[in-house]
Order: sequence, then C-alpha cells, then structure tokens
Amino acid sequence: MVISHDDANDVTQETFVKVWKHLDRFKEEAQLYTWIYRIATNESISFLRKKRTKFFLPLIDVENSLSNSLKDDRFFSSDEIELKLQQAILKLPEKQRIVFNLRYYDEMKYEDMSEMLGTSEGALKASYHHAAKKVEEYLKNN
Amino acid sequence: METKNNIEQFDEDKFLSSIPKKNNFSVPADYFDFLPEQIMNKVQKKKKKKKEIYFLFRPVIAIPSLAVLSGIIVLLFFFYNKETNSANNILLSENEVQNVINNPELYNIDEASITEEYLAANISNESVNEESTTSEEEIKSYLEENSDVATMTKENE
Repeated sequence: MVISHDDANDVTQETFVKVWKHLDRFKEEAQLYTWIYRIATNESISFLRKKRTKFFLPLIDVENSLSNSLKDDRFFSSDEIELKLQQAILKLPEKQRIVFNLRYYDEMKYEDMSEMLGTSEGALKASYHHAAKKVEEYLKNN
Repeated sequence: METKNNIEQFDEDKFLSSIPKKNNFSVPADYFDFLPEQIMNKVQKKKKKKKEIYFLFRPVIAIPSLAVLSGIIVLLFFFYNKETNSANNILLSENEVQNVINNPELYNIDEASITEEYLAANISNESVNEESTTSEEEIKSYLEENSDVATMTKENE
C-alpha cells in the first residue's frame, strides 16, 4: 500500500503499537488476523492521507511519486511486467487497491475481507472485478 | 446472474494469472530480529509521553495552577472593566453634548452669588485676621491724611 520500505516500517510499527494498546478491545467474534489486518489497512490509509496533507498534494501526485520511486527502491526487485503491475495497482482508487492487494497478493477470502472492511461480499467481488479490469487495461496500453 | 458468474470467474482470470504472482518487496536481512524491540521502544515512549501529560493533571499541580490562572483572569477582567467604565464616563455622545449646549439653565448665571460663593470658598479666616492686624499708628496717620478737620469740628458743634 505505501510502497517505500521506510514508510512500511513506520506503518508496521504503528500497527503493532495499536494492537498492543487496544488488545483489550479485541472481540473474539472476529479472527485475530483480520483484526490486525484491519488496523494495518487503516494505518496505511491514514499514513497516505497524512502524507498528502503534509505536502499539500492531491491524491494523484502521491500515487505518481510512489509509482516513480518504485524503480529506484532498493527493496523492490522485479522484472518489467511486475513493475508495471505495481504501477497499475497504484493507479486504482483507494478502496479498489485495498481489495485488489488483499485478494490478489494475500489471497484473502471474501468472507474474511468482508468482516475486516465491513463491506458485503458482493460489493467486494465487484470491486475486485473492476480493479482487475483496470489493471488489465493499463497493462495492455502501457 | 450472468454478471455474478462473470465476477466469480474473473478470480481465475487468465490474463492476471499469466503474470508471475510473487512478492517483489523485500526487507533487510535482520529486519524481524529488531522489529519487536523497536515496537516495544515505541510503546514505552508513548507511555512516557502519556505520563508527562498526566503529570499536569495531578491535583498537587492542577489545583494551584488553576487557582492562579483563574485569579489572573479575574484581575484582567476587573482592570479591563474599570478602564472601559472610566472611559465611558468621560466620553459623551454627540447628542448629550448638544443637549448640554441647548440647555437654557446653563446661561442663567447669577454673578453676585457666584462671587460670594467664590470668596467664601477661597478667602480663609486667617487672611481676614491678617488684615485686622493693622497698627493704631497706621490708622491715625491714615485718618490725618484723609480727613478734613474743619468739617469734623463743625459737625461736633
């Protein structure tokens, strides 16, 4: 979600600090891993939003700068098509990006995703469908 | 129904599955060895910060500082009110000034009574006594210089 290693490190640490702090709020109705995933996703989103407001940048500029920084990132290694796939994912709207990453890379079940994001399974499937279509189009045109 | 099937089928999309699915992001070799320690340090730092803030809310600190603060606020309020009141007392509106000018009573001046009042207020008893200390010799010489002796003897006869 946040691409850069340093940013991911910050988000990871902040996520576990929150998990530690609010462990008493964890309800056993949900699975622990979906609860932690939810905190991590929310942290990533708020981190990107803070970054945007800090530099007074509109959404597209942050994602563009992340996309450009991928090539020079020493913790990112890929061939041409994998790099393009990442850039295509960065072009997606926030919600679709989350759904795509969770489904495509983490292979999370829609059921768990629904519990985590508080969205219906149908809506998540539709989101993934639209995201995958956009990614496909991007890869074909670039 | 058809759309739903399309969405379900899309999970197994051939185009995306043609791309090797792997995590291209890596972490430094010993990253996870130090992560728990870094997280615990962050937790401790946040706890310290909280304690520092809560220190201000302890009754020993909070009550006297609140008392001082409220005292300062009351004083400032008092002084501010005093200044504005005195300023309000001095300043007259244009209408008030016009009323004073147009008041006929203002021009009815009894000069005699004012003079009397003024003298009564300003000439003290001491100054009156000082005048009465004129010597007898001075009185005699004054009478000799200013009185006509002939007319006085005629009047006596």
